[in-house]
Amino acid sequence: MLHMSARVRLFGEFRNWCPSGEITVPVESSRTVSELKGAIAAELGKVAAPAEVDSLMSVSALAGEDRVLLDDETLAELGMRSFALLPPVCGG
Amino acid sequence: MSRISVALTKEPIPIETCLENPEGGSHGAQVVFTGMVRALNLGKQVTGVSYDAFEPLAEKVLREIAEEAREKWDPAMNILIRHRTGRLGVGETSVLIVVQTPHRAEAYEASRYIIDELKVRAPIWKQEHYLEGDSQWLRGHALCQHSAP
Repeated sequence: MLHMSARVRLFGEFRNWCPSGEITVPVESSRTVSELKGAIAAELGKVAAPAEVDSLMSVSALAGEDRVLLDDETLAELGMRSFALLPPVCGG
Repeated sequence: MSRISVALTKEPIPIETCLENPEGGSHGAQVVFTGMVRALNLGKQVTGVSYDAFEPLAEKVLREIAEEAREKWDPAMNILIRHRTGRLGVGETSVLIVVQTPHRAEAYEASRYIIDELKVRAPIWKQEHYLEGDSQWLRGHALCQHSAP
């Protein structure tokens, strides 16, 4: 079981809770993207109301630099340590 | 203007320099769409908008949208997309889409397709700033992808 630190960049509404725009989350590499989202929610729940965090997390996606990640992909498969947490988008 | 040109920028978008047509007269139509910061949204007075973006993925998505437009309407189409980041004042241009084609119909359709897809697929966010001094991130379209059953 390999432990890793996932670097997570935060965008949009997530910046309200973390103005630096980045958090680091300890996680096992065998975990899935969905489980990493759970770990991120727990981390953000330390600085914001958990219900608000869960609400926004439920409509947010994790991504790498070239695509949005699927919930059941494992971190070991992806071989990534850096992620982006994307709330619902509204450009234009 | 190259066949497909996509960029996010912190600087004001230089609209005039984006309208060059190097096609030697083969492209008879050019549709230019600019999105600008509105002074009023849902009854609140807006003083400005801050745009945030995950730039590597945003530029990739914008290029994919442009390529889809060319496949749907005309492989010879030229497409330029620029999107601002950072804080903009009311009236400033937040997005520019230029579509050049031999004929006008596909230019209009492609321009509409590009802005509609950009709004729901590109990882870009806006935070409105209001006259009362408060601010709000606007929620739009979720990008969540669940695995196929």
